[in-house]
Amino acid sequence: MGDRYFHDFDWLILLSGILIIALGLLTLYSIEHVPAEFRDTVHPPKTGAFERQLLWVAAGLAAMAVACFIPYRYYEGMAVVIYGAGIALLLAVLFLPASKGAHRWINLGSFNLQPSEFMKIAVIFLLARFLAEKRNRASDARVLLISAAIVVVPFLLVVREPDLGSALVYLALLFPILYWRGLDEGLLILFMTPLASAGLTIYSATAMEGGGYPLLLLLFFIVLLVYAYRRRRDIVRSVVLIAMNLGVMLLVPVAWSRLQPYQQQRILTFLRPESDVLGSGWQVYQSKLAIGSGGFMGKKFLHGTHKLLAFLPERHSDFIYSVISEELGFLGGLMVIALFTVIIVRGLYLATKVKNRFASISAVGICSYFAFHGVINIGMTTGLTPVTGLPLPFMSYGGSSMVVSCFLLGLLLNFSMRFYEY
Amino acid sequence: MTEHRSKRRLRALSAVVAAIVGVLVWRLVDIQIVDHERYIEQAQRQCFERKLIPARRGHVFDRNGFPLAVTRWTYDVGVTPAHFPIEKKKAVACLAEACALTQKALRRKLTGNRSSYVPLGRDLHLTDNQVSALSSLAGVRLDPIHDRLYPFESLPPQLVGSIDGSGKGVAGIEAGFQNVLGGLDGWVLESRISGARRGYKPVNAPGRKALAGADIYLTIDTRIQAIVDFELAQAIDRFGAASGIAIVADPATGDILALAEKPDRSISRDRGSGDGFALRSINCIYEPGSTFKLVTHSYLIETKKARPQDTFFGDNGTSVFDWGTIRDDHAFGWLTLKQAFVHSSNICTIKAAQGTDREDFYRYILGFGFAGRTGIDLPAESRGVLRDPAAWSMRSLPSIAIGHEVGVTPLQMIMSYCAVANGGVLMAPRIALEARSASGDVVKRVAPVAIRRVFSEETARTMTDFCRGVVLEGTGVKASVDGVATAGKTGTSQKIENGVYRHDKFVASFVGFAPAEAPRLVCLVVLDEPPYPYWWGSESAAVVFGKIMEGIHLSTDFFSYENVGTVALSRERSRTTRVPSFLRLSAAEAAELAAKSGVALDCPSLPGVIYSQTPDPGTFIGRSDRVTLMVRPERPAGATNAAVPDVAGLSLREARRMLLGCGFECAVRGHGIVARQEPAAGRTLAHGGTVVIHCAPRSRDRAMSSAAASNGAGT
Repeated sequence: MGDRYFHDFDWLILLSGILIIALGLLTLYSIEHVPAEFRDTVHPPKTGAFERQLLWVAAGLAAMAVACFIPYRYYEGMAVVIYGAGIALLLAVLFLPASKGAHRWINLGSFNLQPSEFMKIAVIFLLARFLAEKRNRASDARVLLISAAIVVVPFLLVVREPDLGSALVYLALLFPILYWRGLDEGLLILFMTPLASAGLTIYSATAMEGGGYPLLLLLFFIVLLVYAYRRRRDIVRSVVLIAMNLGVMLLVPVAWSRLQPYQQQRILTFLRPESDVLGSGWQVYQSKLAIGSGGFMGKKFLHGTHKLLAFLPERHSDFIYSVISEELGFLGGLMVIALFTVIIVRGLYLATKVKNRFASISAVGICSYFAFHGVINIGMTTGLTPVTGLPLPFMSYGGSSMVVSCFLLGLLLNFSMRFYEY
Repeated sequence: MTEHRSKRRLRALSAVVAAIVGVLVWRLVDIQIVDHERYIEQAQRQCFERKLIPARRGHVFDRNGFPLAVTRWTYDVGVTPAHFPIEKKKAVACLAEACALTQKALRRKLTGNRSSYVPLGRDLHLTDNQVSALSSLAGVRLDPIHDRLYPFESLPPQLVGSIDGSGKGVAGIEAGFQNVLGGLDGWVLESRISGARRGYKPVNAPGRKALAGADIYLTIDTRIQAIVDFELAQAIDRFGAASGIAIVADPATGDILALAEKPDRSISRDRGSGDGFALRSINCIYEPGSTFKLVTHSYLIETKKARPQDTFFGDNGTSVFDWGTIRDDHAFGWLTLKQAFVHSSNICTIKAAQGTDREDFYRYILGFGFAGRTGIDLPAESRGVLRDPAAWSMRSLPSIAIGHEVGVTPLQMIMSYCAVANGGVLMAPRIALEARSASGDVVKRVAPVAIRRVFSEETARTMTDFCRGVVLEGTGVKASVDGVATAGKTGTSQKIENGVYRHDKFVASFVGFAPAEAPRLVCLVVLDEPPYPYWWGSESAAVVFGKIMEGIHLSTDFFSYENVGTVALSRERSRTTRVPSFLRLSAAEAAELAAKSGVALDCPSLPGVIYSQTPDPGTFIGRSDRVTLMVRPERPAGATNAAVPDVAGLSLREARRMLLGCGFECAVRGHGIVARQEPAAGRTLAHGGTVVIHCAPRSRDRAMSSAAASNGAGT
């Protein structure tokens, strides 16, 4: 029995995870390190992030072991309880005093707990458990509604914190999972196109000069009309598709005006980061300077200068990828992307291989989690995606993120060991 | 879930993952490889900032080392406590010493202080070692303050000039020698720290050391300058002139020894205010009048168109030419060419010059440097005015012959007389002797420049004879000085206003030199708009010239050769050695130089700098004569106070020697005999302190000048 587990264990996923964690630790160490030529004159504040992160890595490895060795059937059984506990924590955090202007953390003395991170595990578990039941077909309206509800409740709670970035993760988890469970592509298009419409509308509304975006929006709408005409056999769905997109295009400007100013600013900064270098585009601008000045080979480990002079904001957490790209260059940055890709691709392969449906759906959810976090974070540091404050799994400084990421990786390992179990 | 469907969906999801990875990698390639150079540049630009370290500006001295412009260099010192290594004992000791604080007080000030800048001291004097030690300490900020002082007040401010707010020279020597005085500003790289942007944090990166500017030694001799300045001021007062200019030059080298312009015009640091930045001596143009006859007469003699003994009829004061009428002040009959010069007859000069070739005469005038810049190292020099002969009218040649229809600067005029005094060789005027680096090495030496021979030595002798005649029997008798054979020429010209010659406004001038047989000094005096009867150059400018020469004769050794020469003619043959300048040398260097030039020395062997010598440089002495040198000892380690000696009644030279010998600085007002001194004798003064001595001419002159001053101008 033990031999079998050992035999089927996915070492590649474990190795990739360990490597990313090691890279993250080295980078955190480097941030605190002052090269000899600056030692007399530059004295960055001591944060102790590296030492604390060592503790978090230990905690993460423990969580990974827990996730790996407890049979996943146990988690399937506990999914509702876990979800309920998560919701309770999200409610609790809203009533606790705010820190840094937001209700995101529960202060536990020496460290802060971020419930929205743990809630991601709960959402994956509950969605997987619900959709794993054979009768719950993904194309049923009832199933879709319940699935949406599972996601939307934490989404709204987290938006209230406010933490739009984390909240969007729940939505992002939903679509790959539904697709994996067999959601009709047509329905997926029905869900996804309004989001695209919303994005394009915001682009069009905020593009001050140049009429390119309204044209793009028009083109997108024409493509939708053509698609709807070709699917005219299902007349209801076609009409709904057109109506939803049209509605979004009209309503987004209204919603835009109701967004928090900082959220509006983030979207605007995302669209034109270079235009406001000293204001809201500062972080992205500095991050790109750090990455760009790293070049192909980088400035060598411990020899980055951008981190040193404290231009880079949040360089321990959200923008840690900028530091590693500055010091290890294009090769270092590529390595991080490759390691994440290995985990995601192996995870998706696992989803097809594993016999249990709960495990299969969970694996897709976990891969979506890593992919979404990775893309948004790395995209953010390179100026491709909005500045959302999503951490880079395994690397960014922070206990909640580290424990959750390790736990999810442990689950993938768990599935790999027990892929034959129904 | 069928195998087929899940495979298809896996492919779809994998494609999405691949697309996303592709986009991210493309983005990284774009930023890190394609635009790498641009980002590197931008990153460095924002990381570091160049902080300028202003170079120390060099001082300006006169030819004997008397300070004319000095920089008082102090610092404001402050610190950013967060960056200062308070735990390092050496750093704290260094900073505390510089700011005159105890280490305890300094620690108390800085510990726990979270502000980004704590001022520790203002206007502090720091040594170079302290400056370099402090600049390498993290968190310490030094802000240099440089104050330019001009301690010698008897100099037109436009000559030494001034500096603007950024420390650049804007006028005079300060502007003309900006490159030498200014040095090279240095810089250090300083990191800009976001979050604590006001903090100060130097980076150990290569910078550039500031290179101190060199000191400049001018040709100006403050001893002569004080006399010229005083006499000119007295003259303006006595004769009631609107303004006046006086220049003294050394004909052999073209050195400008003194240059005075009265009344004083202020000069200000900012361009908008002040009375102008240009020296009138080189910038203003006037019609020279009869002083220009030097050019006409020397031309006639040099080209052999006339001989000194040739005679011309003066038409009894009024002569009608076909182009107009010319009048003389006196009714002259027949005059020789020399008499025409001596008595300044316009009619005879014009008659002698009639029939000369315009082009040839024009070229001859150009040869003197008129209508062209002399090339003096001062800004804003004027060319003067002389029209092209093609544009001359019938009246032009005779007018130019007597110094009208031609505009000259005072400097051009004195340089042409220098040519006479120098045996016919025109020299370029020289204002700076040499530049010395802060360590005392000569970095630049300005050699005297002979421009060209304008006429033969024979002609020079003849013209000297003419000029001597002017003082002996002609219009310049008031320029004669007891004991010195002076020579020169008067000039009086009507001023032009709105294109018309005024009959009530004149420029009175006198240019001359002394001693006549071996000229040592050339002096020009120009007075603007003195009232009648002083508008004649013979009545005012000649008097001033005489006073200046007399003053120089009384208080310096310039004409001593002649004095001794007349007394002991028999010894003249043995006076063959010319005394070199020992000024500013150390005793050891002086001994070396003396051995080389065969001069016997009396020199105390003290460490220090020679500030005085008797006789003066350039004097001829015999083999048995000795040169006495005075050494200013270097400042002793512990500067002590000393009593000021009594110098009242001594000559200016003696007083200065005594004061400098006692280790005091000496500021001179006026010339002649020391009348009073500040502080009074017996008071104690710190070593190196300044004693101001007020001088007045010897009693015979004093009665006259004070009477003139009290009666006001025009009496």
